[in-house]
Amino acid sequence: MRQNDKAISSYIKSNGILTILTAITVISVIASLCIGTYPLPFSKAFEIMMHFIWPWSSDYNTEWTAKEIIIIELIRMPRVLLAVFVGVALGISGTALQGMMRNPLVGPDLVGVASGAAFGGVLAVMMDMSSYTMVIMAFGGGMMGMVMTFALASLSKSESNGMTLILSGIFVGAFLMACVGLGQFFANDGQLNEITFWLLGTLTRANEERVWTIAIPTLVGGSALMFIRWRLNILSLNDTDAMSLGINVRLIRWVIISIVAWIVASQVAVSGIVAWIGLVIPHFARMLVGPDHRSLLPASALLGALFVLAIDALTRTVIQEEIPIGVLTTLIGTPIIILIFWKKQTKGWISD
Amino acid sequence: MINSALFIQKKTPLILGILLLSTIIVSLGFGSYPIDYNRITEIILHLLGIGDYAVTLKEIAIIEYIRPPRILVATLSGIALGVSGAALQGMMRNPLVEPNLVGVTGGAAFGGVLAIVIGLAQAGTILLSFIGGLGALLSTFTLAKIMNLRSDGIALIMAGFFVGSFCLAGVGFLEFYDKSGALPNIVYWLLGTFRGADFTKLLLISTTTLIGLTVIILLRWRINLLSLGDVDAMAIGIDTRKLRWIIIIIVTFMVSSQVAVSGIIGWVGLIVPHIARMLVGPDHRLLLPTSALLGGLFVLGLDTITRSVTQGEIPVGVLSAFIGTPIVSFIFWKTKTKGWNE
Repeated sequence: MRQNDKAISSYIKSNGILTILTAITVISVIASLCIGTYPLPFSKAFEIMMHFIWPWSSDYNTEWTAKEIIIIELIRMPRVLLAVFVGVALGISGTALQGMMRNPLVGPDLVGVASGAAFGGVLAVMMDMSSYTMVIMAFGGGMMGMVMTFALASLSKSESNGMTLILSGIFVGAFLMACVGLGQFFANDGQLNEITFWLLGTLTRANEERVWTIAIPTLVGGSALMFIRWRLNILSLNDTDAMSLGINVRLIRWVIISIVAWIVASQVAVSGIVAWIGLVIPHFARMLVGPDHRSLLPASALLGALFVLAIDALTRTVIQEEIPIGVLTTLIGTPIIILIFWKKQTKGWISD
Repeated sequence: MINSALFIQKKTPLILGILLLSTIIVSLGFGSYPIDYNRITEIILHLLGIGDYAVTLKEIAIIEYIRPPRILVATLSGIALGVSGAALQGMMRNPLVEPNLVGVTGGAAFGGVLAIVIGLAQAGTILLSFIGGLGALLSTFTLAKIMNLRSDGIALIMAGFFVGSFCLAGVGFLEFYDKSGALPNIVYWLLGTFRGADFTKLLLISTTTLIGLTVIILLRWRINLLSLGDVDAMAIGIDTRKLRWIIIIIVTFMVSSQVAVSGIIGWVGLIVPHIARMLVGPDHRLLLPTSALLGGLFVLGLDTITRSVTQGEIPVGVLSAFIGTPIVSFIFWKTKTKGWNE
């Protein structure tokens, strides 16, 4: 009985946290619409945004200048949405991977998905393909990278303390990035510029098409992951227990791998390699709401969105220069992850 | 039977040395302007003032000024990487360590780029590369100690990966901030290339590599003892702490000057010692010279391939990662990642 109460109260607590996070995210989205080289008041940004998303709204308010409307609707809106989706995509796929592998050191950029997707994307750029084909190629590359990593890890499995997987990921990632380097090398000048800038991770190329490209996989894949959140919880027990509860572990793993590859591929296709978020965010989310994937998945998604929004706001205001976002996330993310490791003396979860 | 195998092992450095020398000479003939060997002999004899042959100015320029510095810089880079890798692996008792994976290369690259961006002269570039490399290596070791994920050696590699990617993000940041127009050069240099090797660079890398190589070879006995384990080594009367520091500083010294001269060339320091160990076994007295020579051969081979087979010169660093990572994966699979500690 007492245990039950405790479970209920922690459920209420994490629901509360999720509500607060959602509110903060919405406010941050509007706030990001206001800031930039041409600042706008909060209320105005809110009204223009509401006008934009409310399907049966009236005509434009005459107080708004064309400039303001263009800035909000055509320039900042796609960029802010892109930042949100990139964060959601990375946060949620990092959490799913960590839960599935029972390994706190896993992130999309560490198991070869991101570099594989980058390789696929580079091939697509070099063959001058459309952005839809690019997503497909990135997906193929991402799946390939992840499968290579898992294959190598299981080939060299000794004591499975989870480190093997990460080491394999580093090797596979380095190989795929060398392939990217070869691609860059054979690319012509225009392609090279595009590839280099894109791979460093950028939100500057945001437009409506790119927003849709990432929104659909993130929303569909994210919902799919939310549907199997119970099974993720069971997967994180361990294989034998999960199987005895009637879960087809192998199948679930493959489903999760494919979903993650799809989400990350679309993220890489629109915004390049944005490193470390998928690794760092789940740890923060776990500190807030605990290890239960029912609240962990949405919390990671929201925190990821907040984190990317904040970094993007930083580049647009304080620094005033378009520093590639991948560079910033690495500069910020590595010290954080080091701190987390140090605090937790991380052991991998398999051992205990 | 055993004796003859041992004999061959002992002679391996000699054989490799001869092989390396002949490769150096052979690679003189390769390139976008091929010259055949009789002609090369004639030109060299002419340059030495022994014979008098009709040679064109172009041929003299190629054989005297263009190819030799490049070939020697490539060879010396390989030697530096091979011997550093072998020394690090012996010192850490970890078969998966190499300059690139423990962050030295990244740190040295960061220091070098910083120097270029703030406009220092070449001496400043080398100094900052060295400081960057040393700083990165120390951060990696500290971090590995702090993280202390069971000491199976993989903590070190994780730490190196973190430090390395942090440094490279720093490089990205600097590249971004650079307004001096040095960007294309920085990018190309960091990918690892011997293009533009000249006598200044040759002088720099030959000094550091030869000094470093000599010191490491002099320490070969002690590295053997270090690979026993700290307790045993101390019992025999070795100051392991001091020895570690000496090796770390020497390795950083060699690797950072290599990075300053020819950019990031990964994976050589990891695979070369393994191949050397297959050839001559784990004794550092033979292993260190063998790794040095094999490294020279490997990098020189890669460089010769890029400047003759491919038209537009693929960066050597890309090529080495392309060839090196599958080999590393294979080694990783074979050794089952155990590290030597257990």
